[in-house]
Amino acid sequence: MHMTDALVAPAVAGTMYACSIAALGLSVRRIRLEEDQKKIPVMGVMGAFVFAAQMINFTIPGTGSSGHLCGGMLLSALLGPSAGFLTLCCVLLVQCFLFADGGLLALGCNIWNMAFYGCFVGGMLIWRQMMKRGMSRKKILAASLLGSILTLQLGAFSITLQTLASGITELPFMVFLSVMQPIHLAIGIVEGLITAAVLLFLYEARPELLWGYQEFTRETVGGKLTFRKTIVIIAVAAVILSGGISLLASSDPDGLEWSMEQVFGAAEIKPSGFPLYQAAQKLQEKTALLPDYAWKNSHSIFETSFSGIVGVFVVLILCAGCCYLLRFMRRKRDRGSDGG
Amino acid sequence: MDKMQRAVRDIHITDAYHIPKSGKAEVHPLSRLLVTILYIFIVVSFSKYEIAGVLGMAVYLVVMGIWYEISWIECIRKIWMILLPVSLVGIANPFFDRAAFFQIGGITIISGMISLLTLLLKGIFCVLASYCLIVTTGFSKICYALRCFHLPKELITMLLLMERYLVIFLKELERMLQAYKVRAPRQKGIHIKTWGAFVGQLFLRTIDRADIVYDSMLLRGYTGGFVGAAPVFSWKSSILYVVIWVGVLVSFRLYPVFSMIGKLFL
Amino acid sequence: MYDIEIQKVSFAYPNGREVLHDIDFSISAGECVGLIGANGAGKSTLLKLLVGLAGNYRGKLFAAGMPVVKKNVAEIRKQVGFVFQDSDSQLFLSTVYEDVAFGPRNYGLPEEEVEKRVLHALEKVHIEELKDRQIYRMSGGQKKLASIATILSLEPKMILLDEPTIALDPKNRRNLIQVLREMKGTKLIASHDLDMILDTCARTILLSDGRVVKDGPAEEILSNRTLLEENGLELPLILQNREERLISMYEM
Repeated sequence: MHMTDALVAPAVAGTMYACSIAALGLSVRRIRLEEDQKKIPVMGVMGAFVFAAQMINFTIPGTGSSGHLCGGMLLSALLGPSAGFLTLCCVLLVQCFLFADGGLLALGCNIWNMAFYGCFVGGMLIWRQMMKRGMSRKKILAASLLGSILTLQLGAFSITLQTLASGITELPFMVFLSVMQPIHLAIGIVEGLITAAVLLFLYEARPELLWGYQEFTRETVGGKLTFRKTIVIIAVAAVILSGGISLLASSDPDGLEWSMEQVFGAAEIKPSGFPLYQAAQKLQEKTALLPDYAWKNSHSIFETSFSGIVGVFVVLILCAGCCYLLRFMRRKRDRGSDGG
Repeated sequence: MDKMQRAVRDIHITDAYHIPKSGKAEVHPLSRLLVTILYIFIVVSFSKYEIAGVLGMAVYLVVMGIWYEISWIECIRKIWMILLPVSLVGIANPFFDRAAFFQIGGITIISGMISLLTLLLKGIFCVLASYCLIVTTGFSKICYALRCFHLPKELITMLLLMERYLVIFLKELERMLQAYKVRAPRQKGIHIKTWGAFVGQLFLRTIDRADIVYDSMLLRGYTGGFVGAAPVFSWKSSILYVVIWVGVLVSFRLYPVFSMIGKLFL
Repeated sequence: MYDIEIQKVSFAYPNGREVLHDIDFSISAGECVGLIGANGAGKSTLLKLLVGLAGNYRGKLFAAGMPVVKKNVAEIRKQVGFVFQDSDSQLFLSTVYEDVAFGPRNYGLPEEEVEKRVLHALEKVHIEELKDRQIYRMSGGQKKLASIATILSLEPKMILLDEPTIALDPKNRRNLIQVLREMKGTKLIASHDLDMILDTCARTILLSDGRVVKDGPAEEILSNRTLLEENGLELPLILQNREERLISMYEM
């Protein structure tokens, strides 16, 4: 699932951007270290492939419904984690900037939820570790399934956290989580099966295309170093993430803290600096006792809101009128210059 | 597979707008990107009950939409796309957040409804703002703007290549799916037995094509990374564009402009 | 002075299959040569060898007066243009202008010079009006002309074309032949469109199973029915018709 702009608060978006950019920077550095000129064009064309593959409907036997591919695990099994991550970032960037899908502000979240987990957790921790001592059909199947399920669960968990931290929904944490996780378990299983099917096909047809096929079959050392690097990446990311969230919690009381209190049912609600929120809270207290009085007390809020809305419409009509007029004049001028 | 055709159509529509009028100076893509980011940032920063404030942000969209003659139908299609996820998340608000907000004609409007409505408006405005950016700027110029943001040139190269091959792969996939459908008329999608072979074949074709593309780049002196030419733009109008929009948007956020105007009429 | 000189060149793929065997010929400056042969005869591989795309070979290979070895490859590619069979793979940027400008820009030319070269190249293939067109909106024939323009903008000494007329309709094909005839410089065209070779080239080299079977004037080789049929080809249509006409006249 793509996060959309409306579902993230600026602070959450910023934090996730920071994390995603860190991962992006690391990946770019690793690609540069490889000094393989060919890799960039291959990755670009591969991005288009993943985009196309995401459009395919896969029939799920016995259900009548169909599943889709996200591609994180598949890409990291074909290109390796860093290249896979960059490619998936490109796919997300294209979805954002060419199709308005996902949103500019939520891009950081989307990169983290889909590309980071898919490529670094799925590719580094699962694919690499499982294929270290040679590949086999069973291992490929197991790694694809495990990787896809794990990365989608992590992604779903992140979405839940990000949405709640943004203070968007009134949904209790556990309810939200208990909806998100099972859905993504099902999606993960389907994704895993599709990934496995594709990788198995390639394993038969052209095994050298799978990431690390030659390396793993030749038994080389050095795998540990990159594994350690991943752990470092994840640790750093976790520190940034938790730091960002704690910062957010202290600076923006109506964001995370408030939703957490809602979620965990904290009895006492701290007064926040936000007037509308306070007013709404007072309102709630009043309505519990005497609902009729609530109206009078909130009259001022209502009035500002109402006059505000009236004002918006006045300005909108004015702006639209001016724009139409200007456009009309521009067209007339264009036509005039074309004629002359 | 209408999803694919829609994607191809979207690309066609998008680049139909900003056909470069040769030689004519435009607003720098970076200024468009910055204004869009600021806009989305401001829209999202409104608290969940500030419906009037969010509504006021429509001014930008209306002005952009009319000035650049953006198709309303396409806008509605984009909105449709965003509505489901946003309402899924926000639908619980009226049930959990039951404080009365105000009463009108005997009906109590509760704050949950307001927050749901605000959320929907935010979603719609953000997606339309992104769409405005795409339509007015075009993908390759957005890439140029991203380059100005110091995004690595590897990434820009990949983005440009991806945009180019998107349509080709979508059409190739369409042909493959048609060939599949003719032989399996009653299936809705791809059967589980052919999952691997179908995508695998597409992948092998991809790899072969990538090889040729790389060769072709090498033959024309590629040494790693390209970003395309700088677009023709005028500094004056770009700065004016940014200054005006930043001024308008920030003042909408900081001062109750609309409330003041509304009071004049009430 | 030869533009291309090939002396006893053999080439095998990494899997051991030998596709070229003791190839021996040379092409002088300004010549237009057709390289013909059935599928898998080794035409494309030979062209790729000349620009250093295929890999290691045995024998001696000179292009633009330089031996084709790694240190010369960059200079050779500057002087020898290569037009791929699949235009979609050759045109990898979004608009025609951008794509044609890609080569000159890579060689560090100033932007005014780039523009001059692009416009000149587009003029040579008669598609100036498509300058700002998105490539995916173009027809196959237009794309082929555009991909030739991408090479012409580098102003190469010679051009290698791989199956230029494949998948073109008759009108576009005729247009392309016209463009090819107008083009100056050395040309080596690999194709099994023998009518096109007959129209554009004075000299033809017939390849079969990686060997040069015949090298001589195009008219002579392309009208030799037995030779062509032995090597998996057929007489050009225009000559077939003439032959049939002669037979029917004789029968009357």
